[in-house]
Formats: sequence, C-alpha cells, structure tokens
Amino acid sequence: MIPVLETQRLVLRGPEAEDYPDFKATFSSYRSRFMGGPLNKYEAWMLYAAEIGHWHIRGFGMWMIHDKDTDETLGMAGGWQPAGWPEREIAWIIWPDKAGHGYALEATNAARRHFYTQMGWDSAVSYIDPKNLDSIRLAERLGAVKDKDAATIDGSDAVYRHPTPAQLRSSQIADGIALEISHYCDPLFKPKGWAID
Amino acid sequence: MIPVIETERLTLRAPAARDLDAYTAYYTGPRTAFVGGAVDTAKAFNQFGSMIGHWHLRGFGRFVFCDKTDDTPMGHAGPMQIDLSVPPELTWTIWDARYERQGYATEAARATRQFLFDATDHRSAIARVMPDNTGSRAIAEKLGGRLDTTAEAPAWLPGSVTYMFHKDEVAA
Repeated sequence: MIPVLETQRLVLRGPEAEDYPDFKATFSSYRSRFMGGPLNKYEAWMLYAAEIGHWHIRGFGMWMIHDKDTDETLGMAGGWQPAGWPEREIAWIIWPDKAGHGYALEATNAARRHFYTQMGWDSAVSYIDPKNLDSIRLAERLGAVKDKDAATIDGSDAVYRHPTPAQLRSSQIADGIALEISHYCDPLFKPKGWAID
Repeated sequence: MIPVIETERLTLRAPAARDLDAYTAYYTGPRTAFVGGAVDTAKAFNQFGSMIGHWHLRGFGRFVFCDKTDDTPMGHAGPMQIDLSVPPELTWTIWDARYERQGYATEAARATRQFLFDATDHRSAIARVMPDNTGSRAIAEKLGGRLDTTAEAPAWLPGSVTYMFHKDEVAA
C-alpha cells in the first residue's frame, strides 16, 4: 500500500525490515538529536515500527530513501503527523555520512509533490529545532518560510510553512529546486560551503 | 497480511486507525499500572503505530480483540519480539474495566498463543507479569505457563516475573 516514488537519483520505498540497521545507526547517534534521539535499542526499534504503523493509521508516512543504482539507504523523507502535531508535517533525515549530496532536497521535493498532486494536500509545515541549521536551510531551499503565528508542537520548535500547490505553480520556486537538483546530479558539480542535506 | 482469528465470543484482527481512540484512552489512563504506567497521547500514538509495524518487521504481532457481534475493540493480545535473542513475549491487555472478569483476556491470549505456535516456527514464548498482578498471573497459568524463577526482569518492567511457554507442553 505504500507507493514507490522515483527521482533522478533516488527510489523512495516504505521502510522494510532489512533497512532497520541503517535507521538504528543514525537514531542511536548524535545525528538524531533534533528528531527525539539519540534512542536506545528498544526505543529505536519501536520508533521504526511506528514509522510503518503511521502509514496505516494516517494513510501517509515516511519513505526510506534508496540510491537508485546501489539500492543502499541514504535517509528518510515524507509526511509525519503523530498525535500532538498541529498540522501535517513534511520531514526528512539523512544519514550523517550521506549528507552534502542534495539527497534530502531531491527526496523531500518528490514527497511533497506526491502529497500535493496525488493526495490532495493544500498545505504542509515542517517543525524544526531552531538550532538545526541544516534543516532550516533545506526548508528555505524548498521555498518554506518561517510562520511565527502557526501553532508549534511544544513551543521549542519553529514552524516553516511550505508553499502551497498554487504558490509552487505560480512562482519560480519549483524551477529553482529543479535547477539545484540538476546541479547535484551533475557528476562534475562540487558544492561550495558547508555540507548541506 | 494480518490474519483474522475467530474465537467463541471474539474476533481478533489487525489494529486499525479506528481503534486509536480506545487504545489512547487506555494507555493514557490508570489501567497501565502493571505495564509501566500511563503515557501521553503522543507516546500512545507511537506505541499503537509500532503494534502495526511489528507485523511487517517480524511477520507476527499483536491483535486487537473485539466483540464478535459489533467489532467493539476491548483490548489487544498477541506475541511481540523486539530483542531476537529472547523468545517472543505473549501479551494481553483489556482496555476498559467493563470488559474485565468475563474471561475475554484469557480467550484472546489463548488464541494468540496458539497462533504463534501454529503459524510461526517459534516453539517457546515468555510472558512478563508484575508479581501482584494476580489476574494476569492466573491467565499465564491457565495458558500453560511455568514460572521461570531464574529469569531476570527486563529493564522496561523491573520487578516482573517471567512465565515460560513451550509448544510441546501446552494443550491446545
């Protein structure tokens, strides 16, 4: 029941048992500090199972991001709205050693397009820890802007509001994202500055 | 992929979104005293989600058991196994006091124990129960569990006692 999404470099599939070790490695590490981690063995397994259950409860959820050529996992991206989330969230995490290749941008852009064009979403937000600068940068590259008036999860997170489907159609945001992704897909492209997702 | 089991009075089926409110009411309430205590709504959501995800990751899991006549969810029961070095753990829980003392938990737990031994390759299982949870201890014993006095309580349920179940020992 979980759809498969393909992009230039990536395949997004539902989380499977064989992908769990990769998930566990990141969620037991400092990398997951902005996503409720680091988690112990029990917590990590329960959260992974809950990622699958979320699809069944809400009808949407988080995909596992795979490299199209090697099939290795690179991180996760998709939709997330457990109890207590004021709105549907678009979320992502990239394994620490896979950052800096634009995978999160490419995967999250595809996930958002799927929610907008196939599932009828007309808005979405991302709840981001104000210290999570890489994710704030990615939200901005996706065209999201800080929404100071929106309800937060617990007051410690900032709300970034994604452009609506209409705003994406009537602006150059989507073109900018496509251009940036095409740069990352170019084998000769060397990103400047700090590693971003 | 999650089977449906019918017993005399119950239907055991996959946990579904429509059960979430009843499950959350149970898991955020006082009935969780014997299983680690009440949690907030967000934790309950994740726990419920993980009950569904467990089926996909392990090929077996916990069922929601319902009144056969009207699909009212009464509780959940079934095996779970997070740590593969420990046999699957049989669990049974009634969500609301009005379904207690009528043998529903025993009926559901017996069916899921049989499901584990019939539908998977597992030949043994355990159950963790707090020593003063006499209702659950009686169910474990009715299901053919033997108290394992050498087992250590897991970190998530300190002070609990362990019952062992072996496929060859329990009567269908």
